[in-house]
Amino acid sequence: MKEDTLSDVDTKSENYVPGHTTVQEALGYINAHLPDLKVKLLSSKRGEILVEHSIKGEVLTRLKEEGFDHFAALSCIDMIDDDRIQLVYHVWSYGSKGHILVKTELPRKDPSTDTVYRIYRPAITYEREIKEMFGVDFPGNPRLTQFILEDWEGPPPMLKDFDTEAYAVEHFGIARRDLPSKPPQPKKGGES
Amino acid sequence: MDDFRSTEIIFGPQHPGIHGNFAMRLELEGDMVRRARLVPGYLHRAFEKLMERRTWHQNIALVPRICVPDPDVNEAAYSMAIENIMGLEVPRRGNYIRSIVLELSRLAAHLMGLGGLGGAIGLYTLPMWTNGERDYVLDLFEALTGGRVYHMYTWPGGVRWDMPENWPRKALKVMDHIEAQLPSYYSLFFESKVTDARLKGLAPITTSWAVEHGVTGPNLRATGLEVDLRRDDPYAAYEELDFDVITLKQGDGMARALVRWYEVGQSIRIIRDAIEKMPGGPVIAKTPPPLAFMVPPGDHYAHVESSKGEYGYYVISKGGKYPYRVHVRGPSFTHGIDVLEKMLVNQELADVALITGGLDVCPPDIDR
Repeated sequence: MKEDTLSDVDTKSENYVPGHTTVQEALGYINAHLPDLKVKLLSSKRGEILVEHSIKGEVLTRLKEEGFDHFAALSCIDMIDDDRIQLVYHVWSYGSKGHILVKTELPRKDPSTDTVYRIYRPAITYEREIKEMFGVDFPGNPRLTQFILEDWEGPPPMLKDFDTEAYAVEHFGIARRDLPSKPPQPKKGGES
Repeated sequence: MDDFRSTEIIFGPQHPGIHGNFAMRLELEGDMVRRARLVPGYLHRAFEKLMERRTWHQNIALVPRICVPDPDVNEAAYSMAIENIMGLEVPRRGNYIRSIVLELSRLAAHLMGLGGLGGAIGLYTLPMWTNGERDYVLDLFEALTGGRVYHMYTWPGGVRWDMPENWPRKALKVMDHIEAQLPSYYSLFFESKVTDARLKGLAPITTSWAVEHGVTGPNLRATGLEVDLRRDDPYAAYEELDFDVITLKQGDGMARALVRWYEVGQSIRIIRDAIEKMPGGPVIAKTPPPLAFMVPPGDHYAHVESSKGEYGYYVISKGGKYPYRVHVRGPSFTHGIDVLEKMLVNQELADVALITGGLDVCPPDIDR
């Protein structure tokens, strides 16, 4: 992977112009181009779009073209009851000051979806964390290397069915029931 | 031959120039950094996992610990997300007090951050002074909330109790004192030839690059983009308070430091304005007691402008006593990994601490 550095930044020519498409207009635009999507206006400044994960890249590219160029976050939620993993892409427009949540779902078994880091650069780190904590694979992301968990061999720990106590017993030999119910009391007497 | 030209050093977590608990693997050619890789995880406490097993109110004790220098934004964003899902209206007085607390927190964080920059340059008088002033702000927090560093004062629905009667007078006195000190910080730090030589032109970034890479807060305003969530997506009482959004054009180390220095002045202005306009009435909405507190199913992403950038909480409830999932978006998650890895390349080793400090990276919010 070639290192792109600050030397590539041209500090002389600055031409950033924020886009002014509002949330409502952006949702209308998305709906007109991809009519099968479920779009919902939550308030004048917030909207959400439910997409199939295979076309989320297309939706995000369009949103970015419409001025939603700040990638605020990528959240991952383990919907264990529905046997699904949900990904929520949060994008924000500096021009119209609106927030759109793009939600997509993956099967819980071997979840995998294409990276969006070429559209929104900050996603590179969010995807790296989600790969480790939820086990979601993002083909195309060059930085899915070890992030926070060192020498981790257990299942992804943020999944709802990860049993923290069983893991602690197995790896550290201590269970909650072994812990004293009361903290040890200081000894009475003349010890100093 | 290439192998003999470069050296890899591990910078941190035990290093006087590192900002918190993370490390950097730097590949050097002579004094120049050619490749940087950030190593977080030294302070991972699995807060997001812990929060799923604690009641909505127990989590108030956890969230401020995510960012040590600027803890109140966590309580505020977490509470705002819950309030939005529940449809709770915070009383006006509660919102005003929240704004004061958030600005005090920003003030303390900026003072500490500027002091850190002084330390990285070798100008040790500045951290002594600014941390001394920060201590007066911590005294104010202690008088208001009972805690110096972590306050657990902002609750879903408002703030936990009203200000003590003489607290506003004390706060104004501290504000007068800090404001009187600001010119001497300016001449000590910004008029120093060393600061000029070290910070001017240091790792400049443009607005497009910053937006592309997810840079937010003072670092983005230092490139000339006038954005501030306090004004763009108003929360607490900011809509009714007077302040200017500080922007500078250069986008270099000096601009990043100056934006913070000017913002200290703006925070003082906001606190005075809020105390002056303080409405009467209750400070917290009527809510069920903590153990019977239930949040209906729903989700909301609440974000606030912290001293370091955008701080967001995405809270998901499936109904009941516990959150189903809480995702914390800290500004350092982008600033401290991807952005820093790029900004450090082709910089001198001596500037590494200065660039990291200038971005005001706070590793605990990467780790969480």
